[in-house]
Amino acid sequence: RSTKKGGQREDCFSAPAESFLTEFDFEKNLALFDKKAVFEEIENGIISS
Amino acid sequence: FMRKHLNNPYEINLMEELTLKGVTQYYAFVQEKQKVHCLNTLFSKLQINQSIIFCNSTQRVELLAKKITELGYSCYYIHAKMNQQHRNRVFHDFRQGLCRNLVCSDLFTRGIDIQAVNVVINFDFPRHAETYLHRIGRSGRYGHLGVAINLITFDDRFALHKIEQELCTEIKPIPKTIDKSLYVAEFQIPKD
Repeated sequence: RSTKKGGQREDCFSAPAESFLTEFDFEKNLALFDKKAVFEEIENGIISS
Repeated sequence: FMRKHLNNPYEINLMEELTLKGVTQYYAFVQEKQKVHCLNTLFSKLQINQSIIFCNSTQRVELLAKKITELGYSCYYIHAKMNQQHRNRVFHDFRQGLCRNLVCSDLFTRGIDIQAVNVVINFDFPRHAETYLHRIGRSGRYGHLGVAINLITFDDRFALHKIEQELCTEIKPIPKTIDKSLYVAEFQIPKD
């Protein structure tokens, strides 16, 4: 049941156990998201939800 | 009015506003598929006394609880589709400290008031400021500290922006090491 269909939203639960042997790299991932720039875009209305 | 008509009333949660004071808030940027990996690393790095992990649906609560158990951590779970009696039982046992981690959906309407909980993790980031405050906020009775860690995906950026604005708060990027004095009781410096 853990590999239940439902596509993307569920796919974090079917990640292989081997991927947990290494530590999650917080810094590398934080670098992929420029919060300040993204917030400026939201505030300037360039993109909207 | 109240004094006149009620005889020794119990006042529940009317006077005490929820507050984010004392809670250090961080986010980790993740892809949906990295969430469990990220959580596993958090479990291994943080000094958790007791933790509460929030998901946005009852199905995800069940899936995550199962996954956490597979990873070798003990956890309970509760969500809105369980009957009240069962929920009360689980919550009571968690409060007693019989288990370290609790996975749940949004069913606390007045914030968490378990003193032993020093780490709250938003496995799924909420969409509304009110929900965020109920998950992370404390009712002020306990002056103790804690950390809140939000797993943020790119899709959560609007909610992150909105919630920071509405609550006038800042959720900072998670640092390489989290200062233990921010959330571990033994490392806190007494104020008096």
